[in-house]
Amino acid sequence: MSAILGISAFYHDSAAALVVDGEIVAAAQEERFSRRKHDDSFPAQAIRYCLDEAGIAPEELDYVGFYEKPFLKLERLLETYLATAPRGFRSFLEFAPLWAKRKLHLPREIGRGLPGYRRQIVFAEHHESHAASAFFPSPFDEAAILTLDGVGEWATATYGTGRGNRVELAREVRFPHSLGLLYSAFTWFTGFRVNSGEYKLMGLAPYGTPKYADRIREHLIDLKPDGSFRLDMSYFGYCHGLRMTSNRFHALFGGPPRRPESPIGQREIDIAASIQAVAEEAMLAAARHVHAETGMRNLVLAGGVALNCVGNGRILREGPFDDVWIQPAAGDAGGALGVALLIWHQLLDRPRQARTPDAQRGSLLGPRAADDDVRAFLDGAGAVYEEYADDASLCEAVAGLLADEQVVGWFQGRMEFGPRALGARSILGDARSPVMQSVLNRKIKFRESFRPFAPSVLRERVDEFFEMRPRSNSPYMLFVAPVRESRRIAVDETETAAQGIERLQAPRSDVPAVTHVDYSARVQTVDADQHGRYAALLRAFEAKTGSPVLVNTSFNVRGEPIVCTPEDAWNCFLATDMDVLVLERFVIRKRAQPDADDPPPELSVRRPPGRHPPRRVQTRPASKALLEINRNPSARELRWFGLLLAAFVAVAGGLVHWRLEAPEAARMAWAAGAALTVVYAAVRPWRRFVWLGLSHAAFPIGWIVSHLALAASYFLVLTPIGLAMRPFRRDPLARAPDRSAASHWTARRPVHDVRRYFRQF
Amino acid sequence: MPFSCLYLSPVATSLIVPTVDRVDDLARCLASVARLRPGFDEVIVVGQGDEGRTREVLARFPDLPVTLLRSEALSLPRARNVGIERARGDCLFFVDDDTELPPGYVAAALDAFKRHPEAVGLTGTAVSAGATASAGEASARTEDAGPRTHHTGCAGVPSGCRRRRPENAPRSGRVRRWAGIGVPERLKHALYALLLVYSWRRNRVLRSGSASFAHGAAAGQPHEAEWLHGCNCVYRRRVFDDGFRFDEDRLGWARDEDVDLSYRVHKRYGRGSLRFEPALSLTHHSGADHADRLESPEAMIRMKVVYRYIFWRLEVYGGSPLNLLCYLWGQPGFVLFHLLNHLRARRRWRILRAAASAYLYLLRRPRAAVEDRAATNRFVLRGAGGRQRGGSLAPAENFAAEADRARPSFLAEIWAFMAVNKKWWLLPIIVVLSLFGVLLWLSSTAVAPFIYPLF
Repeated sequence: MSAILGISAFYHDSAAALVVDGEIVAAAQEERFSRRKHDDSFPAQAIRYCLDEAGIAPEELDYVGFYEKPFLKLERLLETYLATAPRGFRSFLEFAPLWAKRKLHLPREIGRGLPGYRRQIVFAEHHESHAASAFFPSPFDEAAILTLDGVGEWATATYGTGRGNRVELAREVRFPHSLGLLYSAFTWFTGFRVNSGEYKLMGLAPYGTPKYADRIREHLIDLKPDGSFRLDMSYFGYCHGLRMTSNRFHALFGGPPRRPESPIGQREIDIAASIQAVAEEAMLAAARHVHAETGMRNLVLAGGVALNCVGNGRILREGPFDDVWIQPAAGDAGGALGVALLIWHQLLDRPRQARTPDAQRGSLLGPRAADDDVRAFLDGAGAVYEEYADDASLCEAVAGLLADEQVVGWFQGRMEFGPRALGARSILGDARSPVMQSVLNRKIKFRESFRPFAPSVLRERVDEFFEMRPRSNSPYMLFVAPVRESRRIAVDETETAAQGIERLQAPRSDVPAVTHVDYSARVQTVDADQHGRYAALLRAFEAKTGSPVLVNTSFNVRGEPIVCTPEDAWNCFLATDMDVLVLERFVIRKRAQPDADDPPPELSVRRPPGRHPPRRVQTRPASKALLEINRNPSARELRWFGLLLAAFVAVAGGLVHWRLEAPEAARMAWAAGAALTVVYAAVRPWRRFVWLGLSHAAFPIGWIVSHLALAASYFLVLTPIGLAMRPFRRDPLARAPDRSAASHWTARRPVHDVRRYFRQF
Repeated sequence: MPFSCLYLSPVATSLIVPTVDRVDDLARCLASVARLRPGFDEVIVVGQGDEGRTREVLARFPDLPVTLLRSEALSLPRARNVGIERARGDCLFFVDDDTELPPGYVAAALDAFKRHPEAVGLTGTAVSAGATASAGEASARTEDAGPRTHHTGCAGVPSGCRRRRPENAPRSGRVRRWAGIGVPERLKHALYALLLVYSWRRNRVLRSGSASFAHGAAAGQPHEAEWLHGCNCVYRRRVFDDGFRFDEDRLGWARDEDVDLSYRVHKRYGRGSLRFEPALSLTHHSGADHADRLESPEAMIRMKVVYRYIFWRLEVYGGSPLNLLCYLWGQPGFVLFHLLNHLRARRRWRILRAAASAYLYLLRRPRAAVEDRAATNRFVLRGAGGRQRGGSLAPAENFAAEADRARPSFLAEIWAFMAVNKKWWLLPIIVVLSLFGVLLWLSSTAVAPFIYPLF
């Protein structure tokens, strides 16, 4: 047996994936366990789950891979500081402690998290991990590979080919020129959160007209016909600061960024439409170029930009490729899976057999809850529930509830790996209901009302509702397709007074809850092989109503990760207006609960007592603070502290005596110190207070000193080097727009020495 | 023929020759086998390389009773074992594919067995083809200064063929150099004996795990032995019927697999069971792969150190502190021997490094090295490129072996990074950043309340 663990961590979306003998056994994101969205700490709980799933201990792992090369990333960051210094100090203040404490010492950090694993750790390049995660699980023997994201080490976009058990990336676009960061800059500018608000921007786009697209193409990005690009860095702030965009950018788009949570205006809507148009254009152009260069018939995609399902849908429909497969965990979480598969296939040279539909197993790779555990939990929580003996009766009952326009929390089987809920941790509703969209948004998800929902549709009937080929397979909700003309309902925009984002209220098809204002839908196809009980539910719903379409949205509320355990689901159920919760074979109705008449306990999430397994350990978030006071010193630390205290008192007294020649003062100091030390040694309970007292006294000094140290290193070491280098070197970041170049793709330097995979560079 | 086992089976003598794509060597060897009087009743060639080329060679000897077997794993002991399974003879002869047998070879062996019915295995000299015919200096072994270790220095890939000089020059350079600076053979031998890599006693296994050769005058006289040379030996069938086999966990051209098997046999059947017979002499040529093999002296040295250790630990050590002392005492001599023995001075540094890494490996996992042979082999064969192992050491194996190395320290890795990307101007910043890291680390320990007031 050969067990390979892949890890992605310390940037955003930490995750772990376990590959045993080439099979993807388990993969999960840390946020689901830690309940902190986009958790970037070491994925200790995800790793523990993965190992438990396979029943192995850390020392039984054959290889551990990390999804990127930290030293190359450090090099990129330092080069960026060198190129922008003396600007950038505020960003340096965040960067320095993070790297000095942890990221410079990743093997140590990983080693701590995996006691017992002694071999070397594999470091793959960020985009190599993406490429591996896209190609190896795909159903193709050979395919072109395109990866697009914000930034890894240096590369921001790469393409190449996958053949058999190898991926090879030929060319790349390098930082700071990045399609992902361009999109994120607009996300930031329109008042959403970078790295999570991109979906919102994409959802907002259909409301607007791309009136700024030309401005973007003209000023911000030099987009070549081959899909390569350069950004004009004078419009962006991410190289030297904490802001994504510069004042020049704001001037171009008529004003400062929207404040988060303030109303969304027409400008934001049109900007969203414009950047979406440009992004789609770039994706399509890159896909066409990759097709021409590689001559492959199929394409695989990964990287955060590959979560732009509108662009994906266009590549599929308008692009030159016969088929497109996209890693469902296309973001950084998927890098964990990618590096594990890379080790197995490419580095260990194990053969690969392409599988239909793919080797990702429906991306249902996370933990499951056993029936007995669910029952025990519900009993402990005092819930009133019905238990169904088999799938048929369960699905029959739930289909009936859905047909009554009830909102159902659907918790089944293994949790999804990737950002989408695919029918394992989903909230479901009847797509035919005209009010479902606003009910879900306002009462359940508590999120912006402009965001549409995605349909799950039986695979054999997908072409009846959406402009897709019969029996198209889109199990991961990664392609947006237009709703069939025959299903549409014309909306006369002039008659309705609705403007902007209110336009979504008007039904536009006979599945209005999943039809966006531009008659598009982010389709998930469901079949029995990949989705099991979820397919049975859709079939039962179809039998009852004739409609094979359900609304499928992730089982969470805004700002929280998707639920992981029955307890999470229960808490979410209680905190929202959800009507029904289905935990495996158990159906819980809100109405039937003893306290159903109470208003929904939105604020007081009830923690059920009882016999359910103990709550997962809440790890402390990785602190970004420069200095911290350790409030709970260990006994060992206190012992050492006592010794140091005595020594410190002695030395300080000596200094006073020698320097001030004031024997009285010295004697006083000694006496006080000795008394303190004696008290410290004698009265155990007081130790902690002495510790805390001195810590607090020293903290301001420490704060000043460490900031001075950082300022000194930035302005006295880094800045002079940067300034000295600038006249002598060509721009290492290639920030000059250089619109005359024919292409911005650059060749990648291949690494032949397999030993480099054990290095952090 | 008055030979006991002859009457039990229609096939009395089997010859087992492992080979790997060394067609010229094999052809020369088989030609000499065809000239034998009496000849072998059965010749088994175990091929590990390109089957077609080997077949072509065999086709040139239609009169020989040759069987061609295949062994996929590139391992000399494994190939010999494959031959053993198929051999039907009562006496199993093992020679390397780059040897040449004198016409009376089989007769000499059978005669020796007749004279010593208690013996179960025989060995003899292997005269280097480069050595001048004045083999009156008796053993060709002396050419290499006696110690057994020298000949481990040149084992051919899977043929296990040993001790040869690339230039095939008479009396290889090393001996000449030694002689040139006026070190008498005896003094040299005394030095090695002091370092326990050599003994005046002939064909003995020493407490240090080294094995001594017969040389000088001794090589001209029959005597009892404790081990048999792998490239020139014969065993009675009952040894294998009793379950003895070569150690298949030794891969590639393997090391000490012959000492390992024969010493176990010796311990089982007692004194007199193994014999050195000068009449059982053959000629040893340089293998065609000689130059290739030396492309990776590191793997060779690691193999020598580690396989020798495994043999010593399993068969010699026995928990005795004296044996441990002897082993430790013997190792510097072992290394010194290889340093002096190595042809090109430029390689000496690499050899020293490889030996150091091998000893570190053993020091870190003295027990695991013996127990987890797969991991040990990955370590040993790390970096042994394709040709050394007939093209089969894929990058994947390199990768697997590399994973077992110790993680580099932070400083070492930063330094390596700098050396690769040559962005030296980043160094001061990284140094400052690391020092800052130390400061932050201190501030999370019990020192925290004291360090900042010091400023």
